[in-house]
Amino acid sequence: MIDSLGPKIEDRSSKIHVSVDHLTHEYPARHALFGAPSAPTRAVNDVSFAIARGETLALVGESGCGKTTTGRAILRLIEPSSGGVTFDGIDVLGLAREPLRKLRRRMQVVFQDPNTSLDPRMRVGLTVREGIEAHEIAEGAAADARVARALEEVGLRASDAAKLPHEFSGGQRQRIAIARALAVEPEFVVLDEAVSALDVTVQAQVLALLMQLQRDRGLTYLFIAHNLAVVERIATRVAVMYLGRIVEIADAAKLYASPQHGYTKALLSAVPVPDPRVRKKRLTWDGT
Amino acid sequence: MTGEPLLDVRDLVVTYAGDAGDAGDAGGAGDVRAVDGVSFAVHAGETVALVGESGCGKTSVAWALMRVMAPAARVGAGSSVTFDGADLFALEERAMRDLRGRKIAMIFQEPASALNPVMKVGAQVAEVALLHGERSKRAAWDKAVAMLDRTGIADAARRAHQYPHELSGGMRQRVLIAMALMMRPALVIADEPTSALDVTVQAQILDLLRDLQRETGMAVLFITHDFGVVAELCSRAIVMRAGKIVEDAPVDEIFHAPKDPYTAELLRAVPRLAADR
Repeated sequence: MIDSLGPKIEDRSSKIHVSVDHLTHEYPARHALFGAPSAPTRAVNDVSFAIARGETLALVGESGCGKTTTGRAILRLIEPSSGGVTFDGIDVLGLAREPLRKLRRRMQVVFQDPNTSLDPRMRVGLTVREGIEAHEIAEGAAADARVARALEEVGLRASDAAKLPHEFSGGQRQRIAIARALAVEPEFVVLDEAVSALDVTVQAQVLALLMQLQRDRGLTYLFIAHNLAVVERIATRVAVMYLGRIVEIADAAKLYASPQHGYTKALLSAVPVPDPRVRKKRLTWDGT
Repeated sequence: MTGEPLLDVRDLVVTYAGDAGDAGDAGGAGDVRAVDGVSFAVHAGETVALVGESGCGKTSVAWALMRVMAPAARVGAGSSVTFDGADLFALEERAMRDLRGRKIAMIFQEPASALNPVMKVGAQVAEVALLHGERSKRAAWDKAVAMLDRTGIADAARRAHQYPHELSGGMRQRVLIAMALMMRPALVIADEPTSALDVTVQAQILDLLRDLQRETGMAVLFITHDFGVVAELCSRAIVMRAGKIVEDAPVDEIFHAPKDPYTAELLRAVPRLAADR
């Protein structure tokens, strides 16, 4: 009995890729000219979860719930107030500048709006190439070949490297942002509302692309989104955030079939049904 | 539908002067035809969706109907819009200004940019009444508070004294709805009014619009990219693609027997919860 349990437990823990422990992030108090300062805002309040290698954990919730702040804290794009983040056992928050820079090759991010995340005056090839050179993965002709391959992998042409962002549609620009993130061959990617701004037909294509790339490369995703119907397509597990806290975390199939928390139920009941013959009963959540 | 339509749009063309074109000439070579010969009608009390993906021309239609156009935009010579018997494109600007807000009102997507940040929200709603003939500031303010209350803003008398930044996004959208409905318009054009809101807030705003529509009998032209919202609120949908209408039918037909392959493709792509399928 003990023999058969032992390796199983070990197996499970060795699969943990990213772990977040009691993460808290406070924004400092606002100081009014007169009177007492307001209390600091807890954007993220004691959040813990683990992501296994190869899975997609979705972080969902409404605006201001802390999901984006959590994603940024994991990548140390912001310094959280307290708590821990480990990446394959490495203490991310304790890393010095240089080892953190090296680790960044393994964890990448794609943001919502490619219009602001891509430099409008920089040719697309250079944008993709930047990371390859910064992380000393390749240079010269070898770097060119990598840029070409990265563009082709997201469904663009190698010749697109010579173009500027404005020559592409919104969906194509998001593909460029994905190519840039994947060109350095990361293991973990934070997708922060990465398909939210896209039209539905383009959104479906980009989601399919992300899932294909995940299968091909064994990528691990943290998928931050507000659209529960989109999340259902891609997530292995779902964590629901409300006012800085995780109120429910479960396997995706289980969460959608039988949500446990009142807030999750309210959120699911508010998603409009694209069928005029169906009227869904709306549930409300009073926040207690 | 029987009888004269409230709004009758015939062969609407909107062009934007392009780089290569001559800005003074609506037929310039570089011009972009954002709206390319669109005809449809809206009857009194109807809720009609104008739906399509970004760049399809749906918002350009709305702006043309309100006659608030970008400087580079031109309406085609053969276009006509009849509203409540009046030829909109033939009206003097003065008459159009009187119509706007009183008989046709618009609700925008971004309440944060549509509201004046340094004016109390109650005063902004009251201003609509003052612009359209109300002489007493006191009476206009009272009407504004009543209207804010009707849109579901709790403690409206106190909220009316607040500024836009003191309200949540959902509440700001209610203020815009109050402004639009102040004069009990016959037609409200709503341009993605819930797209920037969280789903739980969106659900409340959709309920509110449905109630107000039932109560006032206003017609609504609802511009959106979201088929979920179309199904929830509208009785008919007009699907646009690349400046043209590809399909105009009752929602049940659009969703369950679309005639145009593009409509069917859009519907297939709409993300929906497995539980709602």
